[in-house]
Amino acid sequence: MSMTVGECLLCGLQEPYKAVLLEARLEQANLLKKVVDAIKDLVQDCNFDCNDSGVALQAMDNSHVALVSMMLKAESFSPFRCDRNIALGINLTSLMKVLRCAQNEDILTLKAEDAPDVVNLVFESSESDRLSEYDIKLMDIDQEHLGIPETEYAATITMPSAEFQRICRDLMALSESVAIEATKDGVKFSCSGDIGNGAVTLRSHTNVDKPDLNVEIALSEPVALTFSLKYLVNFCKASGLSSTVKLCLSNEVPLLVEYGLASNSYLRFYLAPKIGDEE
Amino acid sequence: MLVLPEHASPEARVCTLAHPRTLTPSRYYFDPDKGLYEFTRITAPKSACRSWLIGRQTRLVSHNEDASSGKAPTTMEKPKPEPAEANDRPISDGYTVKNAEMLIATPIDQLFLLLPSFVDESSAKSSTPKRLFLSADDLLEKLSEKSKHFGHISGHEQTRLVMEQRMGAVCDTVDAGGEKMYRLSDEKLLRELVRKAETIIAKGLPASMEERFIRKALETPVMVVEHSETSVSDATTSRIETPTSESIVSDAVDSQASTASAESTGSALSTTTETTTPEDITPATNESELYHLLRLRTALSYVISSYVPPAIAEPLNTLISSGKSQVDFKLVDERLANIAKMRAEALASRSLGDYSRKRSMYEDDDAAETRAEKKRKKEEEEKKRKASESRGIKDLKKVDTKGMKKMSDFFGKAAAAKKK
Repeated sequence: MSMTVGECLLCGLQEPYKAVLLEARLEQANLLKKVVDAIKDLVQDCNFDCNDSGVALQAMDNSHVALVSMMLKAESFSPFRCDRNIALGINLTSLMKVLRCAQNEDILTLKAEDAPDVVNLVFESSESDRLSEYDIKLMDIDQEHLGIPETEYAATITMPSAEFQRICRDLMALSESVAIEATKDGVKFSCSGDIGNGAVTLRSHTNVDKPDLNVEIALSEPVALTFSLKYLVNFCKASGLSSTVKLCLSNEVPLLVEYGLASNSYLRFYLAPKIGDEE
Repeated sequence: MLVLPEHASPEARVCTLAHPRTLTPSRYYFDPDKGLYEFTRITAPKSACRSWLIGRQTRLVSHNEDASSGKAPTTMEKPKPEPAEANDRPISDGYTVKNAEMLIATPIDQLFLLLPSFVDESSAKSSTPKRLFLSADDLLEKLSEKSKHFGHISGHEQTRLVMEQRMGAVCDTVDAGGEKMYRLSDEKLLRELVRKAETIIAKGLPASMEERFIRKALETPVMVVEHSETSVSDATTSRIETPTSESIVSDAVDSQASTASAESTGSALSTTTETTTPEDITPATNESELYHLLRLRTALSYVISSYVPPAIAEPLNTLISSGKSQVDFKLVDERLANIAKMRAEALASRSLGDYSRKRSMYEDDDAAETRAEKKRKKEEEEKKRKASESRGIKDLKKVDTKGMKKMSDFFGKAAAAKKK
């Protein structure tokens, strides 16, 4: 076949077809809104790792003493489709700006193409026929991924998330750090600062009418650790996500603060204990 | 979209052969009558979305131009058929091709394909790079091991002859029992490559290469003499320096020329000697020689870096820089070093804090501008980054993290590989 180009013309296609690689529909935009709102004060940019099991996120704060780990399982979405593993590097402040454009009850759909440079968010109003669509530019984020082993904690405390938030806020007025002491009798949050000192003690408590208000303490050995209150207050921004919070402590190991979400999804925070200066 | 040479013989094939430099399998077009062609890909930048619309047509019209300028924005207006054609041939006959790429078959010297065959033995005996004489059969055998279509090519009588001829051009040969044995000779190969480079520059380098490697490289920082107090002294000294170092160059060439016999050094000598006597003639003839040499070197290094296997390229490069080859780039080297020095000086004198910067020659201006631009960008980025920090993050920066270990002390990175 002797070929010549004589028979060709060029034309520009308006929109190149690109395969959609990720499509995740969330019944309520509220969930993502709250999650991002809780994380954005801890980390600036992070990768959303998407694979067929869901959307995961792991990031550390600037000083690397705290870590946030989020997992939104595929079951949290309906439907969820992710053909290949991709990492979406997003600036959380930008994401929050866009998410603020969504109403809490909106249906949110996340979309990304193959080799994307933007992630596409669509908000559908459940009541009206309003449809809004936003693209957020992605960025390359080089983050180290830490392997977090499943740990048996010496003490696991489940309590109302509002209660935990209140304790942290109250003690924050007195001091920068809080000592958490878990014993058979209960869990004691204590602090001492320039103006004086304070302590809140919670005992195991079962409320039949409102199980959300239960305080459960599971203990294999007593634990006493000190943590930075500023970080804990920061974690508490996730309180809106779940009515209960789980604190897991072991000596010499980071504290785990876990907010459970529907269908096994979770938002976890880890914080390194303060060791040494007991003032 | 493929553009193949016209009047191809019926036996012409597209075949897969190992690329001479990278050894990765690449496509070549082989025509037993005409020789070997490699494919050059011409494509629009990825951001510009273009496709081919291919229609049928009885007559060849000069749409070649259209196609080859496919990258140009003018082709956006797509169906541009002449009215006459539009009547007899509806565009609906055609079809679109998603990729607006054009592959053009361009002739390639079979020599390059043969080069990898000389590599093996030298790399195997890396300690003593002694090269052995090998018969053409052995060498070709080696190549067909690497790329399975090679046998098909070397099987052709005519091609085989050409190949042996090309081998002979770059090899030392001996006759052993009626068979010719080949051994790669760096000198001969270099001579061959220089010849190629000369053909390249005979037609002039592509504009972008010319700009980047020739004009930019030889730009001297011109200092302004009739200008403010402080810069004058600096400027004049560096001005004077130019001719003096020039004379050093020519001296070096002088001594070099006595040993070397090649004609190019001879001409370099004749042009440079005249610059030794007067001190302020900016040597125009010397300049053209210099440009020629630099172009030659650019072309040569382009050829070497794109086609010659690294193992062979290395001794070639040392051969070039040793100055023992037929072309001597010493003039260029010294000039470039000189320019680099002048640039550094110019920079140093300028950074003493002067206001003359704005009015110095524009290439300096350019440099300063790009630098300022970079700085501005950096600052802007920093600002942006700061702005994108949420309040919580700023607050956390003030937290006393004394006594708190890093997360990486608790959680290993071992699982990182697993996770990714």
